[in-house]
Amino acid sequence: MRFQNTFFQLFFKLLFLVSFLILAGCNLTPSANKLAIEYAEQGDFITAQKHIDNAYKGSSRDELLYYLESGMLSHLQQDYIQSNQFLENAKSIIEAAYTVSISDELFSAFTGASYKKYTGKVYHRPMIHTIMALNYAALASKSAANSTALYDSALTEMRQLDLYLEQLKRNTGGYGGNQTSLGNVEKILKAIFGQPFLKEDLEYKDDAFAQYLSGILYEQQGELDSARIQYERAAKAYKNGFSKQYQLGGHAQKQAQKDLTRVVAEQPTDYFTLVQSLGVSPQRKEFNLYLSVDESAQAIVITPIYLGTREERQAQFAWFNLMFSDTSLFDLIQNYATGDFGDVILGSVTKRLPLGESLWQKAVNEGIIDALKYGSRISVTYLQPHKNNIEQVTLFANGQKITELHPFYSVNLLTLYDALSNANMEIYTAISREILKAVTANKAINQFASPQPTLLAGLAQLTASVTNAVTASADIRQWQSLPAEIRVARVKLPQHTRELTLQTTLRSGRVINQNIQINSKTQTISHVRTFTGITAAATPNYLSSLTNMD
Amino acid sequence: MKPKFAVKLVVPMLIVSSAALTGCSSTTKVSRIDTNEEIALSDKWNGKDSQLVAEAMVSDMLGFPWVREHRAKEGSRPAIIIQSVRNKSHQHIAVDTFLNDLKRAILRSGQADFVANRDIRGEIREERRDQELNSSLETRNEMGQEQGADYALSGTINSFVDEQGGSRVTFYQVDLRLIDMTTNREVWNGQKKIQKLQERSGYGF
Repeated sequence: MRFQNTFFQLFFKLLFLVSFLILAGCNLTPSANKLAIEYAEQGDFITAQKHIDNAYKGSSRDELLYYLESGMLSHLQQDYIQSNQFLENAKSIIEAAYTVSISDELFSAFTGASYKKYTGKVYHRPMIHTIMALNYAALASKSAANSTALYDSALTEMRQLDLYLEQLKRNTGGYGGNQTSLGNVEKILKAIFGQPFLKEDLEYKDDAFAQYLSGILYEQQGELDSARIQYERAAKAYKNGFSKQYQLGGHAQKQAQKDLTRVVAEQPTDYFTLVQSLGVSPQRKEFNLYLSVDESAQAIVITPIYLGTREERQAQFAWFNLMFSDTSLFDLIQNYATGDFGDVILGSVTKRLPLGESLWQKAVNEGIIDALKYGSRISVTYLQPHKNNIEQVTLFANGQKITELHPFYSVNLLTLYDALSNANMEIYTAISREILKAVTANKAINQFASPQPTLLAGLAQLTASVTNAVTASADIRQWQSLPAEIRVARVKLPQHTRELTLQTTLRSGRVINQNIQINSKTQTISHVRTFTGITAAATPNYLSSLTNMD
Repeated sequence: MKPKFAVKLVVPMLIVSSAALTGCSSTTKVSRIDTNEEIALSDKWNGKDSQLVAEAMVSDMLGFPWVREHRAKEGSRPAIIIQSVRNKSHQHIAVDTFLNDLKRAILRSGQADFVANRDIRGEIREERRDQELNSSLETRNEMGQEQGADYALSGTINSFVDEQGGSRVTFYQVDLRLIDMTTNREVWNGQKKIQKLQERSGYGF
């Protein structure tokens, strides 16, 4: 009987692992958004929109993504009115998401993260306002009759942005300038626990770029007092941490300070502003892990399953080591104390959660250990690291170089920081969800199955495990058409300039030239999108010392 | 069946099933309602605000002595042109809708006339030029017979917002002024304020 028991367990464990590996290979969440922006990059907006329609249209849980992606695609096609209609709908959905839907939360708890209604990221709202303001400004420059009303609408967006950022700063403290550096105790704790970042390093606290753009629009409309306030906020935020946090260099802060000084001196100048959105924000990808129990060590074990291309596997390994694995001194001590010596070594390739005697017994009583005896799939997101492939961006008028464009905003790092700061909560939620699902299914099976392990009971358990694995997909949805980086130049154009040339030089040596038409004397701001092609994945050098994976 | 387990298992299942079914039962229902009835789904500026402000402004405007003085001096109804009403609030407000409400209320009172603004005038002049070429002498309208405006109406819509948690107070202020086009005298200045409170719950079904 005992032999039969062990045989069944081993057989089903193997069967589950095979099924899990097959399932893990399938990306069950839509990747159409990435395809859409790739088509847009080639200028095929119709196919791009078709992909978005197929992926998101009519789905209540993805409707925000539909409006965000469609809004961006319309903006890129210079259909500014349509773009604003889409983005206005997106704003309403984000606004309504203030009220958390209990039914949605419950449904997601029993299914998966990707079954939850998508409500966007904290930095999406400022981006929506920014694009809408640029849309209105573009419409204003083309319409002589409604120019004032359309510029007023651009400023309305900036006022909404201001309200949002005020609340954000209230919640996060913003970049106040009086933030104390880490105390000694915190430094020691940081070193012991091996957390590479503190929440403060990653948190989106304010938006210096949005404040700066707001200042530009106010100044262009002659509202110098409002412009002064916005430039001041932008300069302070850049100086007190935004530039450092998002690796923007010193130019953005200097430019904001220069504009502030000029406006304070009441010397508005007819500067032309060029906003360049570069590249495509990094893609969120799915990373699979295997959740099991180690009865001898009385621990729950998370083992990463590296799948995909060489770069993807390297990135997954790096992400696991960075975020989850037992590489900190505290984790190693825990492994040593509760497991055997092997746990200490395994710490770098697994995450072990030692439960201890009493907690283990509770887990046995609640059926958790039994439910996880064939293992369970959990799935989290990770970001493929991207290196900055921009060498230089230069603006020419009549064949003469007039200025360079400098980084003012990094969506790339915003996305990465967001993923990093949510990683622990994400894996915690994923584990809780899968345990809940496994325990519920296991209890249901046990009610009707024979007390002795039979082939039927084993199959039922396997079916439940596979069903759980299917729904365990990570939530990799995101606003994919956002750029990776935004650069800005403010310059006084030579008289009668009607065309500018923007030259983007990539590190690979490739040069991208774009012509920018200046519609009229009244056009003072222009937005251009530069696609830089599929960027090569960078070697995850931040963990190169930990991995020699090839 | 163990009753304790039945409760533990069945109750969450029921909640999830009902939640899932709730999601499936979304049907759209449309019904006609009175345009004067206010349905405030949010604290945004709506049609009722536009109507209320227009009525209050017209009543205030016509109560000032400028109409009477103009009639006594000129013997005719004053003609007003709307210059610009700038939206400086945090909400996108259809200013044209508000101005149309205002115009209708003034025209209905019979105490003042409006002359067309620059864009409309341009279109009408184009039409008259076309008439000169193509219309019969009896039906043709001559150029140079337009009525000039006596007063210019302009103003702003501003807003302030105070927000804490799920509560938000929105304050709209509409300021309008009427300028005598001959003397630059401000003959009327009107102000109307609207305050709205929106409360949202952090959780809901």
